[in-house]
Amino acid sequence: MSVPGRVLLVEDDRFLRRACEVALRQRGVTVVSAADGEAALAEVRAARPDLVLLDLLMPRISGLDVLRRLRADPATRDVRVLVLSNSSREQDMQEIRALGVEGYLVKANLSLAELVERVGRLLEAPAR
Amino acid sequence: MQDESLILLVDDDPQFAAVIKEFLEGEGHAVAVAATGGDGIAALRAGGVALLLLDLVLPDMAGVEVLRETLALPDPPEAIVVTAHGALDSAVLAAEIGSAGYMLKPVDLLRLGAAVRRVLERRRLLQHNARLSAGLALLHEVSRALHASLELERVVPRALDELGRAFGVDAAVVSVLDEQGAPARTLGRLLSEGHARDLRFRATGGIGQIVRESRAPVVLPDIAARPDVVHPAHFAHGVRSLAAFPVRGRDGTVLAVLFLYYRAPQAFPPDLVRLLGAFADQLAAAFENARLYEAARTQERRLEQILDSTSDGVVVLGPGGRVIRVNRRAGELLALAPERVVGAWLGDLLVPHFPDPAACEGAAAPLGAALDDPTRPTEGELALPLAGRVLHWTAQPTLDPGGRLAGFTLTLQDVTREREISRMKSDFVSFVTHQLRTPLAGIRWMLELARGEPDLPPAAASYLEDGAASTERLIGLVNDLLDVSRLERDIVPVTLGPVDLAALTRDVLADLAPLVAERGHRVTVAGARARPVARGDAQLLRQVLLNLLGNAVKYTPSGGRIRVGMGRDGGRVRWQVQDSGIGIPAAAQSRLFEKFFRADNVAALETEGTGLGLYLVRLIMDRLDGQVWCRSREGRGATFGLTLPAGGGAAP
Repeated sequence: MSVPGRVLLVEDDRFLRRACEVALRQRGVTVVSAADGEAALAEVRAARPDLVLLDLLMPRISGLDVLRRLRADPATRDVRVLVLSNSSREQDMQEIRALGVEGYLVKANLSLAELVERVGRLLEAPAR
Repeated sequence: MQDESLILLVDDDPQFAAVIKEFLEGEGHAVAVAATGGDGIAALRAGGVALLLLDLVLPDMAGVEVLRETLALPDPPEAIVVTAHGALDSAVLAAEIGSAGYMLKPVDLLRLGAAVRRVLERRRLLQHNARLSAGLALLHEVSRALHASLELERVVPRALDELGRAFGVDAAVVSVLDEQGAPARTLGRLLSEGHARDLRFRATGGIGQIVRESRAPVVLPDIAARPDVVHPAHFAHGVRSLAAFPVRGRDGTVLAVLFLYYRAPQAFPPDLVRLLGAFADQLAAAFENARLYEAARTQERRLEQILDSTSDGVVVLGPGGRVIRVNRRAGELLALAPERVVGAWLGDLLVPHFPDPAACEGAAAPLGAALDDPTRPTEGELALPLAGRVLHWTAQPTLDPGGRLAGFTLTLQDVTREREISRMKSDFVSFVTHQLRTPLAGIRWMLELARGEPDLPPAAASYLEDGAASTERLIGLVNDLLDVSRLERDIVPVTLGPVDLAALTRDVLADLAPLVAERGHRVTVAGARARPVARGDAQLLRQVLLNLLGNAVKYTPSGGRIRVGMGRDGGRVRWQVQDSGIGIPAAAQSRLFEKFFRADNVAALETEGTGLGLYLVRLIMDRLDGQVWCRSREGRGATFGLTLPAGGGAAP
């Protein structure tokens, strides 16, 4: 099933980036990747995505910082974000939930199929 | 005290003078005669005159001039005017100038004798009173000095010197007694070096013993009367009279004897004796205070040694948080000098350790709260950022004998290293989760992509499948390690609420359904209709059920039976799973819930276990105030059961 939609993948690990890109494109999703926070923010401003897949632990600017900045800017406040991370620090999770995200998934506990399915559901559902 | 009783008769009539002189000397007085005003004045200025008998008419000057002259003297004698001229104006003048009496010649000797006695007596009394007042003032000064200083060695000799000066004592010493009543040491100075060399205070046979046993003063106006008790050295070195007073402690025991020595015989009027007794009592109070002070000082020194030898920092605080004392270790921990901070506020002492006062206030708030609430001991941790140190503190309130808050004792331990290690461990766990999980996810997804490719050679497909399974195991192990680590350190956030055990069981069985089908097991669930609700954390309980049900499935050979049961017993709910599997050897049963433990018989069936599953179950049950138990016979299956607090009511 082809799902139209534009996804921005923010992930610093190249293997994970590649796997996600391949899997999502197999489903017909348009995927743009950014390897760090600055590039991600620039990309969001340039062409607003339908969904951002956001890794948390990245060099220089963390995913949490990216999320904060997105929410702080009125132009990007309501961009939909799905957090993909490998840690589950309670302090971070509280703030992330407060900032408003579509979900928080642990990559290692997730199969690609589940990830793609989740993305598909979010893209099909109308934005709030 | 010298008795000045020299009478000076100034009269130019030699016969009159001779008669008067003879009469008065017969009365026991000392008399000198001056025939002129000039001689009279000279004699007055020479000193020692107690009474002036004055004729108003003198060859070289008027008698009143002599009177006026007496007024200029430092210690003017009394004056009785004896004159032949009875003019009123001279009487008035004499009275104005201050004579004590006025007599007309010819003189009635008896009257004169009576007048002289009267005047001299009054003079003596006045002088005596003056001396007593001076003595009282001195006593007051001395007692203040004694109480101001607790170092008797320094103060007492000085006080004795003052006493000597005020009362005309030639030498005053205090013989301090030991507990058995024997003379231990002497304070003060004796009459001479020879006196000091020859005099030995004796425990028995002397005046000291009499005073000690009678607890009363001994007064000897003339020591010659008691050669049996007076020490020979006194006779040898010029002592003529002495007095000894007991210095009594509060319980009445004689702590010391005060000896007063005089070179001339003395009269000891009762009020003088009382005054000297009062001085001795002041000494007693001073001795007691000095002893108590010394005892307190010794205790203090002992306490100091104890405090300094402990490896904990100790800070003793007054009720408001003011520092009373700080031991050496606390000084090290807080980077301050113990002697210099007495009286300071604890809060002020912490400020230098923080980048700004607001940071200090925030960090020290729990400690401040503890010091405000004296109802129970509290503890906490305080990180000193600028010192790079973390302190663990306990605050214990101290109550005075009346039960009121007297302050706090704060103990401090340096836990920097422990916290460091803990942080490193926690950092390590973070490291593990991220660094390991990321490539694990990479492998998993890559394998997944590969398996999704069309036209895979069968062999390759099966290798990929095994690769994926292996990766799953590794991911599971990492997750278990992370869970265990966080539960052990109690950093897992636990949300307590009602958990429907029946629903949870159904969920978990649904997850395990593929595995159950593969093994061909039959699973039954009983007691679900009662819908027992436990009070716990849903996520953690899910983990528990998953582990126990998973074990049941794994450790039962194909085609086995798994029975789940649950119910409620009063305030607790129970849940159990029984399998028909390989069971657990008796030897292993006591160790089943240990970390990393695997029983000997499992390897044949399932080589992939980590030994963490049941350990995790135990940690979670401990955390949720529940119990887990196991019953089994090797080869005959196993039953694992749980009890939990009931959650009350039906789950939403």
